[in-house]
Amino acid sequence: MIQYISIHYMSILQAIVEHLRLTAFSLLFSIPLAALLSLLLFHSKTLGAILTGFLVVIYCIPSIALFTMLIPWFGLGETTAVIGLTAYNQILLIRNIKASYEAIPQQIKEAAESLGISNRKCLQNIYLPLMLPYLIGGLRIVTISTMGIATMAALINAGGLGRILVEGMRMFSMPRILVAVILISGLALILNFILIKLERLARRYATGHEVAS
Amino acid sequence: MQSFLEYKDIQFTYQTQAGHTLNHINFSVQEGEMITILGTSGSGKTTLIKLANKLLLPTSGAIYLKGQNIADIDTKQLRRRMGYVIQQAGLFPHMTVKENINVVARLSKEDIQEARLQELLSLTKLPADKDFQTRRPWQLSGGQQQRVGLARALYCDPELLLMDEPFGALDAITRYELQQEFLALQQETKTTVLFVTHDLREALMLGDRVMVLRDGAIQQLATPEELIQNPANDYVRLLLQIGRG
Repeated sequence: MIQYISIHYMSILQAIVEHLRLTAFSLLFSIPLAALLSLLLFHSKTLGAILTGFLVVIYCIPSIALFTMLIPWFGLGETTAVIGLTAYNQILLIRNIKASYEAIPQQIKEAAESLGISNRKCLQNIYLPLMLPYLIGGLRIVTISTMGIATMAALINAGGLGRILVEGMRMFSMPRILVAVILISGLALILNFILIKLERLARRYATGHEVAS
Repeated sequence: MQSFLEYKDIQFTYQTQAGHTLNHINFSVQEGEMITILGTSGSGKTTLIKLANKLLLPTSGAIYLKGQNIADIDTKQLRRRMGYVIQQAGLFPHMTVKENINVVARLSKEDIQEARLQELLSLTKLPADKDFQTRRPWQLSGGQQQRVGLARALYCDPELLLMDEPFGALDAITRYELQQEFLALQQETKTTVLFVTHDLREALMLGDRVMVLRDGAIQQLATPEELIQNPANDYVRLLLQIGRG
């Protein structure tokens, strides 16, 4: 494995960058889209039920099948992978946004509503800071899930660490498989650790506990 | 004489419930008057005051504020004219005491009046020092949290104060102190108040008039003296007997 790394380190680095880029772009599109859809769902229960059902169906499609279904429209490569990953993330993020909102105590919601300030200001200044720890918690799960599913994007020429894994499987090369698996898990663990730290900071802020007692 | 606040044949039904939560509610409140609303859990007390600031909308009937149907008043404007204090104070945990009190002015980008803040801290008997103003709700006692909640409700100089069992979660001594202080404050500011409680002593001590509510219907609305001397029915009589031990 060490020999493989020492020879192919540039290719491995490139795969890491590609994998992180796939994950980052997917999250970059997923988060605002989920926020927008959540706002729509907030205003219509019927629409919410239909859309949630549709997103659950998408989530149940195996990734390779979903990527393949998108190829006729978007071709092979990164774009198709990002669209597929963004679609997968929606149900997780929307459920998380809903749960975050529901986690705000009813008395806080009533107190906020009774102030006579706009919904936007209320959301921005009162609800969002209180929802933030839950939102980051959800983002952590989505990030790890995206890191994993992005591996399959190699099958549609989108690159990433999945490329090394697929090569390893085709060539029966254990070093390749091990490098890919260790790097995917390692990256997921690092991002998980960073987001746990952020979640704790957000929780301290939301509860006012960033101030020493 | 025009009433300050008038509920006209109000009915209210929760979508998830069969039957009316409030049934043909008719009463009026004069300016500067404090009405205490007394009843057991589920009698419709909280629902009744939530209709005043449109946190809930009536199924039928209308509420008039200074002769104007509140349905015709912009909700934000209406709520700015009213203060709302609830049992757990509903303070925003990520904001300091000062930010909680002047939250409306701050979020509306209006001038934050330092003098008003000092006046409210003094009125609600809270420390005025910077250290206290920068504390978070979790660093306050239950009584202090309620005082901050009251100061926040008073910040915009409300015409009507809606109070939903504000002292319900406090210990007996703090509760008594706050009742006395609130009574003095109300007499000083002459604010009109709808005050929900399930405590008979509190209702009799604070209210210019006491409304007894049962299963969404008004049983009696009278001064504390009238209520004691002439209970309207057996339910009010029983409530008085139990409440006074």
